[in-house]
Amino acid sequence: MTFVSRLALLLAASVVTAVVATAVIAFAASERVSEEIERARVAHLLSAVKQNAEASLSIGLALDQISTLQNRIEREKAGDPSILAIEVFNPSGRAVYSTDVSVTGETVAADWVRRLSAPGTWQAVERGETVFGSHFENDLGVAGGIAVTVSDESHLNRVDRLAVDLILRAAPLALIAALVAAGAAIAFSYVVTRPFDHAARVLAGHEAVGADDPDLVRLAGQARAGWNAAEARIDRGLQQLGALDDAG
Amino acid sequence: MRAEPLRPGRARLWTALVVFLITLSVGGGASLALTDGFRARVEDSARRDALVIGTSVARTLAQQFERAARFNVPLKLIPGVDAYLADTLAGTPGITQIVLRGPDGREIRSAVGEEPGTDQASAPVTVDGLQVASVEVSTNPAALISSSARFRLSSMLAVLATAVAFALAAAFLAGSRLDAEHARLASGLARAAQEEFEPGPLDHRRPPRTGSGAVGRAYGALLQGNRRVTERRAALEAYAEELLAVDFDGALRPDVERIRREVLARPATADKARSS
Repeated sequence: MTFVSRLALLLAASVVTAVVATAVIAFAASERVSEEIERARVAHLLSAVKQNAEASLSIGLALDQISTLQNRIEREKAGDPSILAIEVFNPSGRAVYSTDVSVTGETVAADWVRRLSAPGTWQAVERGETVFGSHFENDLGVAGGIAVTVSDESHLNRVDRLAVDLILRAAPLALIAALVAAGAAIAFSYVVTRPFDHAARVLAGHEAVGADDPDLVRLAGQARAGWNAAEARIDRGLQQLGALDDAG
Repeated sequence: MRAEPLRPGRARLWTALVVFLITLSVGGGASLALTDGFRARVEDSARRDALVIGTSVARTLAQQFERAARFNVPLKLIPGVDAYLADTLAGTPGITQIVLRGPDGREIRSAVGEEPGTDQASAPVTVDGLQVASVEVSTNPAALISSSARFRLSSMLAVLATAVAFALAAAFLAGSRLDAEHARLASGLARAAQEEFEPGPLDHRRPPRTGSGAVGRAYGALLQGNRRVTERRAALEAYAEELLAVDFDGALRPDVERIRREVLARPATADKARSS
């Protein structure tokens, strides 16, 4: 492999690696961002329902008397197609309000009740769906919990769309960058191997035009002179042998 | 005449430097274009989410203002609204501005963030079916994905690491080889200058393909010149042997041997041979 092809290959590989590394980092970041967005959306929803419940509990209403909660959760579900269900349940694990009316009065997952004592927002994955939950309090402590079930489909669809978009952006960029890098490699190779060309010209008997590497050009001149001297002696020797032949 | 040593490692250094700079500029430029374009795409995909949050915030605030309006408390006079709106703005990702407007559309209270809003959600504040105010919430998806701003920095660090790694690889896989070829050619030229036209120990290694690139052309010219002289010497030898073959009385031998010595002698010894 010649110097120029080796260098062009290395440079093209280098810029393509840079673009691919960036694409991988961007994809990892987009997955993180997608999760952040999901969490931010649900965190706000949990906080709004929690605020609503705690405000009503603070004026002495019982959990099953807060009729605005049912409207609230239904409205939130209607406004966000990725939400599959919202349940508000009491500390004993019975659903008091739910966007699925058939669930009202039923027992919720035991895991949700166990997580009621956890501070802040919790998250669990159940059968390909993600459940985000939180609890709300009254003066006596934990008064119940909220669970929002979100479909993973929208998250996966978003990640898939972004991955395709990333590939469609990265591929032509990598190709253009590789071509530019290969062009730069050819230009650099021309400059860096010019002394070899000058040496070849001198060896062929031409004058050296410019001298990027005077040492190599001088050596080429000396080599040429060596050939000339040797050939001159060979010519002289042949003449002398010819003369001996004629005399014999 | 003796050949002076050439500066070694020059091609290696320049090759490494050029690969580093080109990777940094071309690879870095492509990476920046990729990250900027992709960030815009991610922001676009987050628009709907920011708007969902904004709509929910607008509705929640509108409900809260409705309670106050039902008790005939003028919205302008409710204490702590500005601080509450500012807290809501700071605590909710994706929203950049909250404005409470009166029924005439004039601003009553507001909280404004640093980023400009790109989309807007609105919820009316109604009492007995009459709109007494409205809550407008501006959203910006960029505010939702601000935590990923470091991904541009990570990409640039990756480009830098790639540039360093490939610069080192190029120095050893391309630059060093060119330096070696340079040294081989210089050695071959120096031997030709000393009239050593037979291949030297360095020439027994795999020669560069002649005709492909400047290195090959230089080698080709050197080998061709050496071969020509060697062939002509061989022709003279053959002629000398031919004469000696028919020199039955040995009269020609001293002259033939002298001519051979003069032709084959190196420059310094040739002068000596001629003067003796």
